[in-house]
Amino acid sequence: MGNCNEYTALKIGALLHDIGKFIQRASDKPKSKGHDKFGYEFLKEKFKNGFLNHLDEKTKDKILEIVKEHHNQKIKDDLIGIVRLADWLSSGERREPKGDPENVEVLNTEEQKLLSIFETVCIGELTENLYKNGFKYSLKPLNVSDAIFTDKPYPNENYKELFSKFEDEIKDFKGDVSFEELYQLMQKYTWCIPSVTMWKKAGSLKGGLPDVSLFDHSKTTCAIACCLYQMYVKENKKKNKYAKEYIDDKTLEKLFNNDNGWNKEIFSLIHGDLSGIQDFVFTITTKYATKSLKGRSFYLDFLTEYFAKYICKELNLPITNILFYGGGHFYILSYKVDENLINKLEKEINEVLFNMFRTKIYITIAEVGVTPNDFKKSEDKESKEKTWGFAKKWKEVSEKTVEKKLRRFEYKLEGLFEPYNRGSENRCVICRNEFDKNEKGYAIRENESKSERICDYCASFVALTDILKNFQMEKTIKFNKAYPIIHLTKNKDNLSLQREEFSFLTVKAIEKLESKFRVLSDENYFLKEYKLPHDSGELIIPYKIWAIAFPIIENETEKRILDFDGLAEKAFERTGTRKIGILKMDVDNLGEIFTTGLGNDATISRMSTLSSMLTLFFTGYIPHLIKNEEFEVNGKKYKFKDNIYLVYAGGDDTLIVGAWDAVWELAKRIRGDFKKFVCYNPYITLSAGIVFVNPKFEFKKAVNMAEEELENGKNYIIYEDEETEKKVDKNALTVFNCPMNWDLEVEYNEYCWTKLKSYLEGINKEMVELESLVKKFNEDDLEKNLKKQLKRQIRKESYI
Amino acid sequence: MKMVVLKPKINSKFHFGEGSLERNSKIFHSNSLFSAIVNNYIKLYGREDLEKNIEKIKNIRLSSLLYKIKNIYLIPKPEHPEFYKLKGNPGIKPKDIKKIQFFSIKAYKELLDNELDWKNKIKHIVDYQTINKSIVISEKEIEEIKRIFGIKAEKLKHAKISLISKHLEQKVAIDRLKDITLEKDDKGQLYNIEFIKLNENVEFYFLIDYNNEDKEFIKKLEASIKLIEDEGLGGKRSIGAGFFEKVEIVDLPEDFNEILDENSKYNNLEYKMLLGVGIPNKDDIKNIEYYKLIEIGGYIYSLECLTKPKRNILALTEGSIVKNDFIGDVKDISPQNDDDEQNKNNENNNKLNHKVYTHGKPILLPFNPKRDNYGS
Repeated sequence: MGNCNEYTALKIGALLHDIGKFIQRASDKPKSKGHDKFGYEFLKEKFKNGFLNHLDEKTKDKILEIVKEHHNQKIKDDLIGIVRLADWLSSGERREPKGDPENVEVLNTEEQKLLSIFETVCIGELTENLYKNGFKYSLKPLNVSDAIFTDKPYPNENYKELFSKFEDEIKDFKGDVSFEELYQLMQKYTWCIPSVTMWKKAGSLKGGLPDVSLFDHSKTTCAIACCLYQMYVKENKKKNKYAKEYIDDKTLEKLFNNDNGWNKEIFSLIHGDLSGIQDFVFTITTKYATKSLKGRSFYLDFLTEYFAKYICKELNLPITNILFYGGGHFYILSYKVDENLINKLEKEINEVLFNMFRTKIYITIAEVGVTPNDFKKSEDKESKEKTWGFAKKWKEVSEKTVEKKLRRFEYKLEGLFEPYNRGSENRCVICRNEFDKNEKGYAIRENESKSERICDYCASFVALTDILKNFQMEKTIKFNKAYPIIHLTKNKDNLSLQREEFSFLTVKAIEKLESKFRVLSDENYFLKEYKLPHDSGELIIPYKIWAIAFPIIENETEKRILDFDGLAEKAFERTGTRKIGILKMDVDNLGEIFTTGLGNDATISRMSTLSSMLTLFFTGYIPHLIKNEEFEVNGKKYKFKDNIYLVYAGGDDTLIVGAWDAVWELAKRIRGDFKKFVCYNPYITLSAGIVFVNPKFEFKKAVNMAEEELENGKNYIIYEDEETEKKVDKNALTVFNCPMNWDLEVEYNEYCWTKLKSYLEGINKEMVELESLVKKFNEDDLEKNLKKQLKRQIRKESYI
Repeated sequence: MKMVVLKPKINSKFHFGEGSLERNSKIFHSNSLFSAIVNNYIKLYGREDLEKNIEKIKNIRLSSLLYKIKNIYLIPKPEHPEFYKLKGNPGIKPKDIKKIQFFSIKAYKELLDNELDWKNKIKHIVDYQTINKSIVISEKEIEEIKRIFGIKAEKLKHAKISLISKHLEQKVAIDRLKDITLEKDDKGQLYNIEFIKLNENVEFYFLIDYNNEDKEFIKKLEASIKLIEDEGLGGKRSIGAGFFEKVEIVDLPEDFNEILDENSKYNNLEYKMLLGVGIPNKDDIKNIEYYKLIEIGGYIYSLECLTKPKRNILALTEGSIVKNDFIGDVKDISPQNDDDEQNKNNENNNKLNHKVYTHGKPILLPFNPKRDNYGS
């Protein structure tokens, strides 16, 4: 093999193996040759023009060979064989087209757009008209604005326009390009391209339903290929000390021939679950909440990403193998590893967390075996199991994590039950923890003349909050850039105006991680810089989608984050009520959506797509909405970004604090946009709880109250038939302990009712008649009518 | 072993939990109960008597303060994986069983006897035998609950019963010398305390095993327990909290007796469930099976000095599962006197002259995890 970097060639070759489909569909002559040839010729030309010129020639030649030959059925060994098998396993995702070929309209390949994954969730048996009527994505680069939402059965954009943008961007991919940038290039431009299309042949429908993106297919192909490679043995040389199973050319051939091996667990699905989030984030005094709250919240989200990447680093797997991370969870596809290794990694991580935070934060990591068969759609439609395919593995590993959580710190129970601390009254003013004996801590200044002592870790989160504020303003993440933190000084005795400087890397809570795990310094997993989304929602490679949205107020000396008093004051100026609002929202029935929503078509690509798209809404769109949109009060427009402090958004939920009236309007806006984002699927709903409190109210208590409101909404049932167990529930906004169904009581949406009607008909036909009532009487209209009446009354009084 | 029943006064309210006044726990943990009993003992018999009997007091076993509805006694849910996940049960979600926090002792006994078919009839249990989504009772207790609370719905899941209500009250801190209000932690002049109030049909109870034959000592201990009528629990008299109308020490009810009697058929079960917090001794470590952890700390209540923080310690929560011969421990968590500030405080006559114990020897209830092939 000479100097060829095999693994690099495999990763890139697998990731780009189907790039030819994009080229082909943008071509004037798409049928002149196969997509593999299109891809090969495209890359060959780009390599000549300097694309990826940091790679040596042999590596590039191997990439070209993989792309060119990945459909060559004669090749069943070595790197190409690995990619071919991975492509096949990944393609287990494909859904067969439905319907009579004579009656089904089949568009040209380049006219077939990607059906939204949300069109297929919880709908049961696929119908003949699903693709025809379903909403499909426009051919646009990935974006965090509503430009990527779809409500169109026939979006108008064409491949040529998208390809032109792609070609423009690829020109910059010279020099030392990281794998992550290449990954992002694929994500940005192929997220909306279907991996497979339909066609007619000899009187029958062929191909597949175009509901899996080229990006997701490419990503999972790469992930599977990397696992296979790590297990691949040639001339008895093993590559990976952790792999529990091995494959050789004979094994590959058997798998290709549908011989034995399909039921052997040669892969692992790894689940990580970070717990203790609630207590860690919210057990702080209200006084300094806005100064450190975001830092704490962000830190936990960052830990999820960081530890997912650490595990990949240890296993020598690329970021494609992280199927999903967010909300304190991550899922990784790996080659088969031993449970002892998982426990070892878990222990390593928890030791570092324990040394920083004792038992407040804990990570549980579990693993289940995966067979090649698990990548396929289930063929047993008569099965009584509600969960099939890869979703079953997703559920299994999650349940295993639940069990492990009941044995936290099992490895160090000796010594865990001894007294600790000193019983000192010297405590951090934010978290109330004792200072270590030799810890000087930091002084946090409320103003020029008053300061209080805080511990090193709370100083970390104060600094992180401020650093994130700077990242937001600069729209750039620079991990090693130092920022002065105006309200922190090294110790209490020094009340000078000298500002303490921190970079992201020097914050103690990050520094402790890096000294042990060294993930941030590994460019396979973190680059030195990232761009945050542009105001337009555009993603500029290398991008990072972090949920950051601060209300920033500027004066002559500094730009600072508005505190709760300031937020309440803004509401007071508009409404006369000096309150803040706390909003908690999350997706209803998420477990069921993941484990049963995709039916027997729950494949690795779809699971990954579904989770990533939901995360995109919360992590990408909600911050974008806050930073760029307005709301109206008394005929005047105000910016959300001046009124909203985004505490957390990710996974499937969000927590938001702000001026009470802005929070109220934002809740309705988020919910309306979410409904559109999920293509008005009536089975995918979002509940919300809101409380309005004094800005000095105990923050954790207020958050708990918001959660109780949310829980009231989760328990809200509009209709229930005991015998059939059909019901209309959740999907509620709850405020003042009063739940209201979003669709039936809060707001009327014509587009939503188009699908809601068929949903309600399946439950109780009479409920469809509610539409006319909802149209007339809903909270939104009542609120508007109230405002009109108030204005009318004011005019009357003026006249009198 | 005895049961202590505590009947709250009408409109009495309680604040449990340590640290922040604004956070309330549903359970008054056994370590706090132990502290209250010991403080009462000192008031009645003096510290010298306590020191003489300290080893006996350290040997008592306690449950946490739990709830009863008339003759329906509630215990914590076992912290076992079985009660957190499902095995393909239709019509039920993992969240539904995760929300369950308590079992009645009768339902628990049926669980031990395999009469409560948790695995196969979980939906029926959640729909018909679960109060407020959080309390599982026996089928035999359903009619009693419906009668007590006037429930007409067939399924308990449709009934909202206010057993324990939360109340948030605003208070004002006053400097009585200057006759002005004080600011507390920069929250303005007002601060909040969260209380719980019990439905008139709900009372507290706890179990105590004296673990001793000394009648004189037992008599003193019982007097200390009875003093709770006057001293209260979970509150301050100055703000009208923590009052009880009656505190009675009674024999164990039948269901408890059948399970806990020394001749009980359940004594052969390999595992036990904690009814109070547990602090394992070194020999107990190998006996810990499934558990959650709680951090114990807070402030010392002592007649001898101003309020001082305790050291912290971790313990197993109620509901944790251990093996049969788990004993538990009592630890000294009095503050260390090894830093300058402490020494300075000592000079101000604020020195603590006694140990501060935290109790971790819980009452144990037999548990049977092997019905569904769970456990080691």
